[in-house]
Amino acid sequence: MFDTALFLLADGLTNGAVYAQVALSLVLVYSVTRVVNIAQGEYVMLGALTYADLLDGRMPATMAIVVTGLALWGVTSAWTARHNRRAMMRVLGGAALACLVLAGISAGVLAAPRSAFLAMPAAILLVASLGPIVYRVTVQPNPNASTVVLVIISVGVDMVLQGVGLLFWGSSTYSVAPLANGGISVGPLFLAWQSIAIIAIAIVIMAALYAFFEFTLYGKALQATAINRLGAQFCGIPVARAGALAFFLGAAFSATSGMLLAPLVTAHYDMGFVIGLKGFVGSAMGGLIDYPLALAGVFAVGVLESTSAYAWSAYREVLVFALLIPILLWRSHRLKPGQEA
Amino acid sequence: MTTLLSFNAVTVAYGEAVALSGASLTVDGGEFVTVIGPNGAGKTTLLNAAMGVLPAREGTITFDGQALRHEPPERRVAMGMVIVPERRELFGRLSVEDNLRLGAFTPRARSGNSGGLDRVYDLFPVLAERRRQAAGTLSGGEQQMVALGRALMAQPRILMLDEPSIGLAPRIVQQILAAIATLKASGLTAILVEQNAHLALGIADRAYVLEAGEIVLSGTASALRDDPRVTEVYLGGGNRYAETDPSDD
Repeated sequence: MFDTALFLLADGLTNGAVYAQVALSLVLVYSVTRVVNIAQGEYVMLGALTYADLLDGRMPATMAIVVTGLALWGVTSAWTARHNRRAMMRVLGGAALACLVLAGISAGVLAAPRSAFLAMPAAILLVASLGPIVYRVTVQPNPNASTVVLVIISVGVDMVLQGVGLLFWGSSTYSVAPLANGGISVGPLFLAWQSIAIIAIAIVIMAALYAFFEFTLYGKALQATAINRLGAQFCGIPVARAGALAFFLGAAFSATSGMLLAPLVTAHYDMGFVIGLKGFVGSAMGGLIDYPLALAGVFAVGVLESTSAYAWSAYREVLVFALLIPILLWRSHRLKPGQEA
Repeated sequence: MTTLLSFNAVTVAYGEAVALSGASLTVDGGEFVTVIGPNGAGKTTLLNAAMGVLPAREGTITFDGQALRHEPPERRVAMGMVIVPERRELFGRLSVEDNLRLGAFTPRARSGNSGGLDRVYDLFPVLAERRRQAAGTLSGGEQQMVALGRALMAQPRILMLDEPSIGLAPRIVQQILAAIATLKASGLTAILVEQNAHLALGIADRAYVLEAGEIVLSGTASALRDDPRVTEVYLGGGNRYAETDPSDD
């Protein structure tokens, strides 16, 4: 009995660590840009599939998505800057350069001997670069949009990304080799290396994010943008660039979690959405703005998921999403009337 | 001296409501200019238009010989136009020192800013004591000091002060005013927007009077101080504004 509980706990923590990276992305993106990013989970899917492609020796289809996105961004921003020839050329040149650099890196990884340690950073970079593109094309042109409009935009982005995933990768599943096979036995418990890697990398990401926020001027500037956008502008902080950076980091974290998760579940085009939602349930605990509470939330989600999968497997997803109701009740109870959730 | 900031027949409107109508003014380098006028005259609108928070519907705003069009506020800050906003717009959760350091975010401010923090702490010693405290926990006066200090960290070529006396006790107003006088003595170019005409005319070189979105009077501060149209409406009974609590926003 105790062994089972221990096993479920370890399994739940692994799940939680996967969702944690999505939750960090959601909180980061929301606090800086006010976008409740429904599409966050799709970066998990893109991360897993891009990584699978690179490991199998194919040029990732993500490259096509990035090139299309950069072209779209280049054309729209060149149009806004059409009265300023130099700014226009800078935008188009930047987009073209970004295409070349990313294609070069992918080609380089494919030419080199297969290695997870090359493929993973390349895949992260490729998927993460989609974040700022999505931000520049869909969010930045609507600086005064309400939260609801931004949510609807992100639903649209989610549908597009999932559709593109189906278009390029089809409905088949892709298996991905774990970083290392086997694991270690701790007393009665067997921990797979992959699970340990997931938790370790989640901890490293959190520590790095914390250090970035606390000890660098750019991290403070990102926090400042989240706290008071106008105040940040009055300090000369380019808030649009801060938003793009938040989308970049969010996409990077989510993609990482997809790559780490893929060996446990196999990668396929519609794996992302549900993971995004679970990250959302967890971060709802912190009102999408509080990092520690969001982390507590996702680990609660992870453990609830593993225990319910064991005890009432048919209701696994139901129980996880039902958790949103007590979380929201608890939050509304904590707030004074009139305060925003 | 050359003109640093100029408004040429600038009109700003919120939808149908015109807040600033054909306003023209200039601020020369090294000059301290004030814009006085009653509540709702369009004083804050004028500064928001200068910073690019609000677009000018008609007319042109020029800074250092360059016409400003769609530059967002952060670009204007990078050019040296810095505002101390009426609502201060501090980062409440961050420490006093972080707020000040973020003031020097632009490359221009960072390059010439060794010792900028010490300069602010010299001006407002109380901020040095509270450097680790969250800005949101400070008193109103101390927050105004942080807002002013943060703006100075940006190395302003022109400093725009939006009602720095509002909502503060007279004793604190005197402290802020003394700091502004020190800055003026050091040659800072500034534009001060104030409801408290007595206070503003006491410190400025030149002044404009704004009423219902239009500039109705202008001249040297000393001339306006003696102008019957000003004394009657804005200085009525001499020192009245200085004694009252200017928090009736």
